[in-house]
Amino acid sequence: MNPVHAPRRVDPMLRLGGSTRGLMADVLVALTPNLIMSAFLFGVRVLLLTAISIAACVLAEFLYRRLMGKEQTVGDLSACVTGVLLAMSLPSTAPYWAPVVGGVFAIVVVKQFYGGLGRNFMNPALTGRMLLCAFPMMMTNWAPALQGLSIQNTTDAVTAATPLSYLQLGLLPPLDHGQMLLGQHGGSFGEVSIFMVLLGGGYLVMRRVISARIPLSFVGSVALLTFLFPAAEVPRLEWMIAQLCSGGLMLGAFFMATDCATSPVTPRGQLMFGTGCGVLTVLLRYFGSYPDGVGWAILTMNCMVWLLDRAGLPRRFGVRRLEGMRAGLERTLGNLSEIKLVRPGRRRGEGELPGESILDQFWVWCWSILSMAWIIVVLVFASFAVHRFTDLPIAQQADREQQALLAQVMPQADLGAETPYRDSRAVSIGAGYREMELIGHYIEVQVSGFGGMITMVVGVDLNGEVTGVAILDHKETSGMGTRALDGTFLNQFIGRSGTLHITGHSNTIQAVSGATMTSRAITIGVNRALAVAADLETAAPEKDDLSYTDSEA
Amino acid sequence: MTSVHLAGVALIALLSENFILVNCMGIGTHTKAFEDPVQARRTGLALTLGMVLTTFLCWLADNLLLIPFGWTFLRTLTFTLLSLLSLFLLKHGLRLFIPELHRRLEEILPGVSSNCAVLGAALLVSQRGYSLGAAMLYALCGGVGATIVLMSYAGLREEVGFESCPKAFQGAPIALITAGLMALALVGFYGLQIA
Repeated sequence: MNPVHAPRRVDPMLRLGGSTRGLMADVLVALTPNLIMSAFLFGVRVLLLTAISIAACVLAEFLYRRLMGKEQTVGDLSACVTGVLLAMSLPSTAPYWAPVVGGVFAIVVVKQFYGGLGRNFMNPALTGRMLLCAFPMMMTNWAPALQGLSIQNTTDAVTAATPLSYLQLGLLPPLDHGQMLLGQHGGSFGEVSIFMVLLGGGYLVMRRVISARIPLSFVGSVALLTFLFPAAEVPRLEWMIAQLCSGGLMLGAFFMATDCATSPVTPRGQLMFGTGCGVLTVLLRYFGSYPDGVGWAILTMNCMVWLLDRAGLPRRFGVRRLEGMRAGLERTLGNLSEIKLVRPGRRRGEGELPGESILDQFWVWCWSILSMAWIIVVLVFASFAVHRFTDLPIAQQADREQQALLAQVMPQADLGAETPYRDSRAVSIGAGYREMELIGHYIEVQVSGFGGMITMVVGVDLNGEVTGVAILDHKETSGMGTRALDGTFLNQFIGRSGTLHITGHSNTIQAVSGATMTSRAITIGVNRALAVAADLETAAPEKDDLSYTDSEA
Repeated sequence: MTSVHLAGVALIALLSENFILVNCMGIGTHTKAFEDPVQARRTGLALTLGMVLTTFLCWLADNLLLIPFGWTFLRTLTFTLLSLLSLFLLKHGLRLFIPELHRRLEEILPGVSSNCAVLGAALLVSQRGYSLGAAMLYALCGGVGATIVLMSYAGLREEVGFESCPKAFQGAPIALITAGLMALALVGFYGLQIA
């Protein structure tokens, strides 16, 4: 294979005659109007947060460089930019230690461990922000704009839904275009004011600090996808505009995805990078657990920069487009054409009978397999014996668990039994009896929660009302999501019927605050079980024809 | 089984349950796969082939033999043997029919045969009761996802170099930190829910 030289990462100052310091100063200038606007929207507190964040980043860089005995790089202002961006992606109610933790992690681990500016492979500010997602309560506390936040204590601040939480439910946020554009709503304080972000972004593009390819392909692919796939009963254009103006899309596209060190250097690679970010963002916004996918999408694409740079390598100067493509194609084909099918040939040595060598080989194989076979036989018998002895206790235990489960999901019933009914939406369907009289079904369903699959059983009586909900298995965050798994939340479902909503106008379930995703997942599961039960009811006539009775009954 | 369900299975295998970064399977391959991009690609190919073939055999054994006869307690043993068998078939099939590919994968295939991603894919598929199509897609996309991760990791190692960190972190620690940072990027995909 011919060696292909991908450009090695260098300081981001190839484009301009100026220095890294000049570039970073330009970025800071571009961020200033945004900072002023957010101070106007959320109060002086955000300026304090930003100052602490900058101080933490600069100090971390200074101390690391000093302790490691390396030349000082604080002067290039890149730590300042990281600090400002990190602060801007935090909620305005974030405690003051948050940017310190994020900033030190960003500077020391993400950037300096790999050799400092230009050699980090992930955007430091964004990685620091995403590390803080380990504290979900703190990071989802969105204060509404223009409320005047207290500088010291924000634990009792009024919180509001962000536009993204409406979008995640398939609704348009109740804001007009002006409010969306200027940022008069909740959110991370640097991302709400789309107008100011665009102003800064435009300045950077004009100063040629960043190329417009990444932001344009990023925003463009999000726009295209959201225009093509709007939520049900929402006008396409409105949906697209709302998606573009909410969350960290613009801030991410102009200030984070374009980081010179962590984005491809080849033009085609940049286009692929931006498009990939856009596609992943839409995927995460539509189907993910977190409301916003911009940060995750950019980080994921950051990891693939090397692959994209390879794929987008520019053709050599003076080689025409088609020739370059053909040469590349021929090289790949030449490489692959060495791999071809051959008919297994039989090489027969002198004086050998036909098939003799194969026979020898065959015996060698047989011996090696035979020597393994007795181990396998012993293992099979051992497992079988253990199974014989443990079968009964396991079945008894399962029966006891079944009884306990029945008591939780259908306290009225005194006997539960498996049914032969199958439904693609349910794992299994059981029937509950009281004095040999069918009183309802209990349905086991699986839904995706915040951390993984939640397996739950929902009891539904013959009137289509929930008799109880039990959680069999889950991977939710302890102390956070698990609060939506205890009795007080689950008992809300008892006696409910129809399609339940976690937010909305009618038939609502009160979500546990801080565990919205888990609450939502459980509501989806209950709805699914209710739908399965309703289908069982409509299929009732055939059910009678089946005249199914439990043999043990 | 609608196409939406299949797309969900494919995306889960690629992203939210990425075999290497999230499930932490398939990292027992030989260390060259994490250093040299060419080796990474070949390891990924061998891993994908092994996973698909093993999952296919195990799905058949599970649904035609173990479940109907109630022998599910033999599942782990059977799957282990079948994964060895499929890698044996793969190795000798390649040697007989595609010698060039066999030459390229020769030193990788034995390592793959004892790789937990191969057995893990088969066991996960059987635990979740996937249909044959979904099972094949899960194994294939799992292999592709692992290949992408291996290649970008090896690329990073070559391009960024891990030598600039403090002495205490050189070698394994910085390699693990890098893998951890890459895994952090995939946290956002947890609980990807495609209805």
